[in-house]
Amino acid sequence: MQERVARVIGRLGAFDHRQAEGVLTLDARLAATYEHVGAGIVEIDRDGRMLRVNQQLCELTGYSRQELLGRTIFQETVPEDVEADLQQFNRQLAGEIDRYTIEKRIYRRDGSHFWAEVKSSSVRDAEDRFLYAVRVQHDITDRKRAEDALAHRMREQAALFEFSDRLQYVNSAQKIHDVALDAIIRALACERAAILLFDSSDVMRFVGWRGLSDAYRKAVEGHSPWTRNEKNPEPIYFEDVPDSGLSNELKETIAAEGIGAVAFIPIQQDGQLIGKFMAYYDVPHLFTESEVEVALTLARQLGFSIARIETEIARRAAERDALRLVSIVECSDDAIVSKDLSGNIQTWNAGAQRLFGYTAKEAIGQPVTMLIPNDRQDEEPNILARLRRGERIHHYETVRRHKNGHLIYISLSVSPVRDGFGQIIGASKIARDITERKEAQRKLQESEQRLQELIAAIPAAIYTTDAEGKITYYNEEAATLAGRRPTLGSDEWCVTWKLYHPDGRPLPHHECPMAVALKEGRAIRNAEAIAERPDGTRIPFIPFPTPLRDASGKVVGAINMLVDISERKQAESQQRLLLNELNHRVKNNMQILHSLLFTSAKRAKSDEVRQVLEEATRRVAAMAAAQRALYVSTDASRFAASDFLQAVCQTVQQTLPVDVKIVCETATGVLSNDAAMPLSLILNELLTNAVKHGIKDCTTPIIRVGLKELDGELELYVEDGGDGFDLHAIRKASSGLQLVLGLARQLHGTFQVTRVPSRASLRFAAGLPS
Amino acid sequence: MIVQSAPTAARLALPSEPNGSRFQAPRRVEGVDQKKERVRILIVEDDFLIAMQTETVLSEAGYEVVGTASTADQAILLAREKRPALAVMDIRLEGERDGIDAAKHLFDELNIRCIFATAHDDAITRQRAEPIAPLGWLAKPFTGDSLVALVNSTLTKFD
Repeated sequence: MQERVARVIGRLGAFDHRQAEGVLTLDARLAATYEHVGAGIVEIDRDGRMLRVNQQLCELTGYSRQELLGRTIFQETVPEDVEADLQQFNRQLAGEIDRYTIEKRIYRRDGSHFWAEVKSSSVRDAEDRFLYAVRVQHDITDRKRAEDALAHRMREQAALFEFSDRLQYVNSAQKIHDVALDAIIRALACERAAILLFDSSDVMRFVGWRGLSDAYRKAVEGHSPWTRNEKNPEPIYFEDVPDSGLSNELKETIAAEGIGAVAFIPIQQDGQLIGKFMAYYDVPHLFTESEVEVALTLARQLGFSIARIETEIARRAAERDALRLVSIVECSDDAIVSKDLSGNIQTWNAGAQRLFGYTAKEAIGQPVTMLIPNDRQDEEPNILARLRRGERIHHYETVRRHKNGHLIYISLSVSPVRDGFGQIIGASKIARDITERKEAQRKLQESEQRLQELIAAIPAAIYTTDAEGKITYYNEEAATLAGRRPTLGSDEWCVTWKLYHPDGRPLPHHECPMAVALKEGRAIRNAEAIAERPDGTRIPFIPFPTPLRDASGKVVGAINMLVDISERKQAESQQRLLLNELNHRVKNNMQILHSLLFTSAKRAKSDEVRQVLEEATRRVAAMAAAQRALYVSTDASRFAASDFLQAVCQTVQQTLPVDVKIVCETATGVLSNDAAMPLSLILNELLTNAVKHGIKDCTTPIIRVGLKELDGELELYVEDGGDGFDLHAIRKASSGLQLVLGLARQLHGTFQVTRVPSRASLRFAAGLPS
Repeated sequence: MIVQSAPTAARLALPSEPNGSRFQAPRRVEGVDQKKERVRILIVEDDFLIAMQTETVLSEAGYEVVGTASTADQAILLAREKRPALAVMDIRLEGERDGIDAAKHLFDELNIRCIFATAHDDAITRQRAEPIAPLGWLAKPFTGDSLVALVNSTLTKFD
């Protein structure tokens, strides 16, 4: 070792042989110095392996000499600092430099490290070959710590300064959050940060954040270590989350987000908690007092800025509202005027100028009474008195005077105006021109009046109801028809007292045609009913209920006209009576004629005369039978073939011998009244002929008769079981056949006679009126 | 007007027998024995000719016509006096009361039933007459034969 020391010095070129006598003493002193020089000294080979270490180094590192020797210095260096040292050392090996100084961290045996200033000097042989390096290591941990702390403070201060500076220029809450997050991360040297504020439902919600996942925010949002009304919320720190007293669930959530340490810093505004900001560290973090100071300063700044921006936003909104109000007032079609409590005009908008004719210049300062007509001057004191009591006046309809003197109908609303202390200092008035509306109202009233007069003048019963069927109006005719005066607003559906169906069954009011019209929303026609008056008289009438609808089509009521048809009914029944009377007379007269002929025949002295009279009697009887058939018919112009054939055959049968039977076979179709009399006479003659000529020798004499439709015509036939007769042979001799042929011509019919079978038939057109 | 029956006319007016004719005057009713007391009938009819024909055919048919009344009141008086078995009643009569009134009176007071022979053959009139249970209806204009046939059948049922 002495040799080496000498070589070192020799290399340094400062060895003095004249001092050799004192070497041993010097060596011993040097050795003692070497061991306790106050710096760690190590000699290393070109691989950095420790060849010799002094006592001081063992003390600094906590290792024993034996433990250190053989290890390399780079093994004992904190890995971040190895590269810089190695680079310099290699240059030293290469001879580019003789020595260098470096600051680096060196591990202690307990795993901690200390900062050292290392001076590395190389020792070379005469040929300048590297022999080894001597490294002197001073512990500079305290200096380094002081430097760090200073740097930290400077960073914090810079961050705070920048924060304050940037806050000057922000004009939205979002920007405040952004600037604050930058400042938090910078000042607190954390990796992530967030700001949360109470929302309107007092739930703490994220308003800005950096580096947080959506899932994490969702999981922790709403969580607050303080209550909403906490008076002095303290900052809260979790320096090592896994070791903290947080709930396991929260710990897991935080761990999943990769957060090692976290700080909750309350944000206040005027002593009121409004939210918090969060600083997140990826690894456990020891919060220093100065950090806490900085955090609270940041929170104060942030709270203040939030308050400032809120005020600013509110001010801007108020300004905007005010501008908008001014613009509304200016653009309003309504006249908007304000006046003081003495009634002097203070503001005057364009609408006021349009309505009253005065310009703002002319009006402002003038008493508002200049707008009031003379006969209404007492209105103003009354309005002012009400205003002083703090009352508002809504839609007061009155009259004001235009600059040019004409009167204007207006709707007036007046509200008191108060100063900042709530004191009433004047009034705002909004006036709307309602001249047109008034005019329209007047016209409507006139038109309604005219309509009512018209309805009153119509000679028909008319009434109206609302949508619920309550009677709202009736005219005099309606009261006359009903025999009573309905109660407006309570009587329902119909003005009448009692109602009946045309067949006499009672008809409840709620089922009457008007009720149906209202309930089903449709006009009812072709109905008929009978009204009973309180005095018991009954009037048949036809109602014409029609629903009334508003512009949207909704049924709002109904109008009904009741047409009294008792006169028509009376006329109808009169006509029926007359017809009955006529029928009666005709039948009675025929009976008299029949009786007359019968009696005459009885009194005839000559057989021939009696025979002629009897024949005539039978003919009248046949006609009488036809007359009966006509009377059965309800139709005045036609009758049924079956009724006719039955009646005539029955009558003729009575004049025949008892053994002769008339069989009515078929009778179909309808005949014209004109055909009745000729046909009855023809049938009488044919039956008489059949008895005289056809069945005179038969044992069971039967005559078959029929009247049926055939190819659009009618055929009347009479058949008997006899030999029949030759038409030509007997037509001259038989007055009856001549009658038949004559009447057949009258009916435009075709008469035919056959002998086998013995049959006489007449075909003719029904001759019905279409 | 009260027309008393003319028994001679009834006796004289026997069925005529016209030459070669198969037609008959109203036939005498089977079962009405001339020796027995003849059924008495009251005719209520305000038309003279019709009343006369009615009387003739009924007499020829073997009935005894006890009289002809032209008003309801006459009919009641005659009926009280003659006590007929049956009345042949027109509905429209002279005076204020009609045949239905008269028939009701006859039925209520004397228990005499009616056959109505009338041109008033409508539903309303029939309904009015219902309570007095008429024995038959004969619609005018009718023939003598149909009257006799109805009277005969009515009396057969009535017996």
